[in-house]
Amino acid sequence: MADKSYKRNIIIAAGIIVLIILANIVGSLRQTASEQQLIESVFPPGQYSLHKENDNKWVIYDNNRDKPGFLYAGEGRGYNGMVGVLTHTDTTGNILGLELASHSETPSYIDRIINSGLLTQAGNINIREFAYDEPLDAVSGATITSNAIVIAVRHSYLDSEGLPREPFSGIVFGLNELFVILIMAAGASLAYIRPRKLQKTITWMLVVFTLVWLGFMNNQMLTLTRIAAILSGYLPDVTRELYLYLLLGGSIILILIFRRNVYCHSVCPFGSAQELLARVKPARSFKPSWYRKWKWVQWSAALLILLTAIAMNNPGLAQYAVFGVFFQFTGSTILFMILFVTIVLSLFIRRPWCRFACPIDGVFAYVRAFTGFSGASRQACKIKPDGTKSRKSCFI
Amino acid sequence: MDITVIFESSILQPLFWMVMGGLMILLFIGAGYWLKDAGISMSWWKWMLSALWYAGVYVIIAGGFTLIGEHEVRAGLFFLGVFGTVMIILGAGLWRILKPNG
Amino acid sequence: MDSELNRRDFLKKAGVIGGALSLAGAAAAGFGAGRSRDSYTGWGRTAYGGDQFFNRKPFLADKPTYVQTGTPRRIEYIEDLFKRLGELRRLMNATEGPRWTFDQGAEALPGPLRNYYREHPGALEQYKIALEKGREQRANWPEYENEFLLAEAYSSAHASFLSGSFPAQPQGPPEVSDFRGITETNLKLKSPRHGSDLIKQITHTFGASLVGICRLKQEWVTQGFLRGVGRTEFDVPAHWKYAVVIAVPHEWDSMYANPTYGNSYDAYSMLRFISGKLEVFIRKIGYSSRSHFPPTSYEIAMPPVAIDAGLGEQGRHGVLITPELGANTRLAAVTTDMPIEPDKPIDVGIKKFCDKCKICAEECPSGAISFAGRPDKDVRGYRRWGIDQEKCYTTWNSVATSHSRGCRICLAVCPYSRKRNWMHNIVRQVDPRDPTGLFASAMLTMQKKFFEYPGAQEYLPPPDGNNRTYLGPPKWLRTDEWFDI
Repeated sequence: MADKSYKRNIIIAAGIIVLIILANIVGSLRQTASEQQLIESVFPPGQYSLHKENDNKWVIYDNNRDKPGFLYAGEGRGYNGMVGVLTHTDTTGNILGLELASHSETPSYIDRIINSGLLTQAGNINIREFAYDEPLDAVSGATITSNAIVIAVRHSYLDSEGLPREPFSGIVFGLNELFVILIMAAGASLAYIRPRKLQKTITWMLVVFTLVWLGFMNNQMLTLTRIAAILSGYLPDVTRELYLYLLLGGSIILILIFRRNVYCHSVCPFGSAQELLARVKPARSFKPSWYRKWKWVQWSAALLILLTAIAMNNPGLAQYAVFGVFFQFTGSTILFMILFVTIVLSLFIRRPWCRFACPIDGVFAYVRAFTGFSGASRQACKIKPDGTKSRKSCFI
Repeated sequence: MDITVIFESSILQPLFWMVMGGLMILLFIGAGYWLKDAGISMSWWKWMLSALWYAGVYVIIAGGFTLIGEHEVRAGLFFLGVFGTVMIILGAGLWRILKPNG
Repeated sequence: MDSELNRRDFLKKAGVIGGALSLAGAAAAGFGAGRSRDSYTGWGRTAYGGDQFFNRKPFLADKPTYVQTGTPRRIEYIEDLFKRLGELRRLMNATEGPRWTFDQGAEALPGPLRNYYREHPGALEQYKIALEKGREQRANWPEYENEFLLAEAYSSAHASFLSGSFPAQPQGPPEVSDFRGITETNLKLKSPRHGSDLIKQITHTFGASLVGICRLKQEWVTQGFLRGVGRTEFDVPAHWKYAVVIAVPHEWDSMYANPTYGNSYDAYSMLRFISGKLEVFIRKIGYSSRSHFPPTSYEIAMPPVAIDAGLGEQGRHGVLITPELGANTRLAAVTTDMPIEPDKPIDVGIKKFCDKCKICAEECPSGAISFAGRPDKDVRGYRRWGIDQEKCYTTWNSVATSHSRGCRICLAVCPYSRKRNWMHNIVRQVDPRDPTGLFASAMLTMQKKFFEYPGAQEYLPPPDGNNRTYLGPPKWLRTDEWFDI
């Protein structure tokens, strides 16, 4: 038995690696618009004459309005990839307009940026103010994207003028990171704590804390979008998002070493929300006869969407989770409806999203496949923590 | 004919509210029998909580449709969706209180 | 047995009390219905046809109820009483040629008049009596003048539009023009409070939604130009003591459909009439007055005066926000020396709300409204949010209207611009009474999450935007509903 699943896990793990590499190759083959094309889509050649000064700066002339100016191009690190910004200024550097030239951010974040008037706000500012300062307020709920825009403007200016970039601010280990580690540790410890009362207390504290702190206050959670971005080779800004590395790295390590999906059970704030809802009525566990087969559907869907997003070079496509809708109230109408159904179901069934729909569950299931051929975990595969032998725990 | 006719009429409007009052009485008499048949024993505070919950649902439906009525359709639907979900959750909680071992 | 009896007793008593209370309730409801402002036909639901509430359909008749008895003919000009009397007056006061007198009789009159009075014997005599009565009436007026002072002033105010441009433009210095047509009266106001109550009541009947009164601060008076005099540096006239501030809303549905379906002139025309009539009324009860109204006939800055008069607070967009009308508040004023009691300003938390909200700044197509967390600009000695007037005007000239008719999107998107229904009234009443500010935060969160805002650019015509409006236009302003286009 164990040998069979061992082989199967190797095939699955290898297959996934191959698929991701293939998707990345497809993605890199896709034609991306050149800088010239991007600029011309915003500043059509009929109306504007452009003269390149250096890699980041053009002299631009508005033929209709008979107005000379400069155009700066730069990039900053966003959620899902680099955010390219074009800054149009007059000859004194006063900004006439900011244009998002290229990005792969989740559409709802971009909507937030546009609705917040962030780009319009810049219209009152001189580009020099961006040099070592942050003259725009970050948009709540899209802080990383708004920071990326500020950084893009800053770097386009500094690079084009041959000025030094701001010094690397270093990795900041703050309250967020401390809390993430504590939450992960508490979640991992649950399996080894025997007194039921203490276990219950820790569970409750985790539910409330992850829901409020990670979920509503900081919106820090793993989404398929970000995993798609990382798998297509984009590394988020470590100085601003160290927590993400801790969250993802910690979860993977815990699975590889202890074979425990701590993230889904104890860290995910949406899991906590469902857990809380389950206690209202209280909800029952629902495990139909087709549950195991359904798992394959759930996981295949996650993989398929992941690969599509990578192949299309657009991690934003991978947004089918309801996390953003629940914690930030942004998303499409369909996502709102799915969320509504999920919440109502959560009252009657325990964790319906985790158990029947969540793509992250799939991602970690694939991670678990990698433990199938490491010696230590083969032991754990046979014996569950409570001492019973089980074939199931090999993969699920 | 537009529904505002009722609420701008000095005759139909009071009649409407009289009918509403009658319907509420029917609701509570009926609810009493339903609860009896379901084997739920009610006390004054259980009745009070149930009435509060119903009043909440009532106000949320009225509120959502007020927004829709004044052409803020999206806001009205979100109002109904969000607060309606909250009322469903509270309703599940209320049910647990009414019938602790059900 | 005993408890059964008690229960019966109780129910019996409760029944009697309940019955009595329900009768009292009927009395209260009936009285309320009688007093309801909604029953003031012509001043309530007029604009939406709600006053034409009687269903005529069951009573449609094939023939009108007047009766035809002969061959119909068109009405002669001379058959109109006032036209006829006008002709007679002209003949009696003719400056050239012979004058007609009653002694000459009907036969001396020219053609059509002669024919009329031949056919109506006694009519000329009746007119003679009427003229004599008129002379008597004018002679007796001083006897009644005081008793009917207000009625006369009210009538004059409404009649004042009959003569030429309205309201009459000031001519000469305010010390002359503001006193023109004033009634000499020795009546003394019972108290300043009576004065302000009277002025407010009268102004409401003229159509003002909101009225407030303030003592006029010098710094709100403009400098450099004076209507009636022209370009001049002037001291604030001593008789500009108080300002009666008037507010009316734009029609709501078209206001929400700004910029392209809205307009400023519905409110402007109302304000011109209200302030013009009030100007006449105040002079007719014996005090100086001068109306100030949009778009350009001002010597005072409106929003600060309205704030002094307790109507509301200034918002981020620079527009006055009132509890009743939100930012859908347009202003006029009448300055006077009538001794009236000023109101006090209010603080209902609007300014604080604007610190956080920023919706108008986010939606402004021109980027003219400041995004600063707190008021960021010192203007003539007072701190407020800065407005870039030139950028704003550029949008006036950019949106899809025939010429620069304005934009007003900041009025439409302002969360305070809400109609009067139970829901918004709850917010109006609860919000200013909540000292924690939590209610306001909750409302703002709902405003931003539930409501749909198209986004600043969208209000502009293509290619920059899509001619969007905040809410859709009302049916009665959509050309395609009524014409084939």
